[in-house]
This record gives sequence, structure tokens and C-alpha cells, in this order.
Amino acid sequence: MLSWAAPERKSIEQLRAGRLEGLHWIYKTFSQRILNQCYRILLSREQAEDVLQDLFVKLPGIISEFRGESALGTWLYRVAHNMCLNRLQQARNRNKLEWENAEALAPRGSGSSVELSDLLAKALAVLEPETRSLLWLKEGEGVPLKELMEIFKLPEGTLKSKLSRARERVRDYLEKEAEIEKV
Amino acid sequence: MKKYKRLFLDAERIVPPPGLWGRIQAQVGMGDAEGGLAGWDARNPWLRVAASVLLAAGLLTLGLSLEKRSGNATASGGAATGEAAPAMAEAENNEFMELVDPELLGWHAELGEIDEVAEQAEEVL
Repeated sequence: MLSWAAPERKSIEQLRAGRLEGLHWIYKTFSQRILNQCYRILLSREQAEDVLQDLFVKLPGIISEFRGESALGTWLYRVAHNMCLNRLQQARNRNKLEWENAEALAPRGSGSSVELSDLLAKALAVLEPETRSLLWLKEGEGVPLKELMEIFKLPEGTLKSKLSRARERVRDYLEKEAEIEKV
Repeated sequence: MKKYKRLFLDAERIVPPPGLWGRIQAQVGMGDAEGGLAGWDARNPWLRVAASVLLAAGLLTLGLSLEKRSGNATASGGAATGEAAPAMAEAENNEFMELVDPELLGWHAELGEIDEVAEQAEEVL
């Protein structure tokens, strides 16, 4: 994740001072990455947009929790990750069928909000939401391991182990798909 | 390995819809340089101040208007002619007007003079 030192500092200071113009720079700089992270966790564009909107609406109120120990983008990834997991947990608690589908191999029914529009979405659907988030940030966004440790609050060894297992499962899925296509 | 890497390279990157920033602005109560109704959020403190001032001015105008109307009705002897509903409506106001209306005070004074005359007349008889 790139660090935008001066404008990032200015935006954070503005938000902390209750001046909302700082929000615009942060939105312009990070919204697409956050949106795609949410999309890959939730497997739904609509849900991802909801979380993105929710995050930025809440940001002025929670910016005081950002201590500056990591880059702002890293912290935003963490906030988005937690919001997505909370959303999934709430849906599970309400026993929503579409969210149970998101954790299964394939969606069921046309009413599902899960979108497996590309092969990656189908491959990620075999993983748990938290692992989807990890794999996407590492492989899709190129987030360095040190930042991933900040986002997931896990030691390096645990992260490497999770990544390794996740890659294996995705490759297994791709091989199965390839065999199905041959038939 | 190649196929795995390509999976992420070829993955769709979605973009935020155009209206999303406007919705965020509206919800946080930001002024909107790009147009829209963001400034008219009820949480905007300046909007609340303006609304309070307008409300106070409206109430004051209404109060003054009611006072003027009840004052005019008393001067024209609305109670004496037996106007039921307007007289009742003004009854509450009259309690205040009785204390401050110089015309009403004058009428009481006249009544007093007439009574004194009657009493003097009776004494004579």
C-alpha cells in the first residue's frame, strides 16, 4: 500500500479537527481499493457498496481511533475487513440463505445476492471470508506481509501458513474446473 | 502457477458508482461543491439556527397579529352586540387587555360616573 505522506496527514488532521473536507481526499485515494476488498469478501457488489458507504459515513467519528502506527490505507483495510465480517455475522444470525450460500461452493437460486461473476469469485467462494480477504489483499492488491500483520493482527508465521493453505485450495479448485471443462 | 497468477491479474476491479460520494456527503452533512442537497441535511447546525430564527419570527408575528385583532374587536364593542364565538375567542385576550387597554379603562370610568349619578338621583327621590 502506497503511503501518501503529506496529503494523508493533512486529511487526517482535518477530520480530527471536525473538518469534513479531509474526507474527500481519503475517498478519492482509497475508495476503489476498499470497495474491491469488500467485494471479494462479501461476493456481492451491492453489499460491498453498502459497506463502503457505511465506512466513509462513520469515518469522521472513528478517525480518533487511528493512532498513526500504520499507514492510513492499512488501517482502512482493517476497518473494512471488520465491517464485512460483522455484516456476514449479522446475516448469519438472521439466517439469511444468501449469506450461507456465499460460503458454499456455488450459489443457489436467482434470488441470491452472491455474484460469482468471474473465475476468481468462484475460486474465492471455496474459502472462509477472512481467508478470502487475506488472499485478495496479498495476491490481488500486493499488500506486503508486514501490513497484512497489522490488518489481521496475526504473526508472520500464522499468516504465511494461512496463505499457503488458501493458495492450495484455490489451485485445487482451478484444477477441478479445468477437468470439468475437458469433459 | 501461471494460471493462479493470471486469476488475480485478470480479476475484475469494480469502481464506486458515481452517486455514492454524493450520498456519503449528504449523510455526513458536508457542503457540496459539486452540487446536490448535501448542505440541506437536518444535521447542519447553521440550517437549524436559521430554522429556529424563522420559527421565532413567525410566532412573534402571529402573536402581534392576535393582539391587534383582539384590540380592534374590543374597541368596536363586540361583546355588547352579543357576538358569541368571536367574543368567546377574545375572552382570554380581554383579561390581558383589561389591564392595559386605555379605551377599556375609560369605559369603566364612564360606568362609574353613571352609577354615581343614579345614586344621587335615588337619594333625591
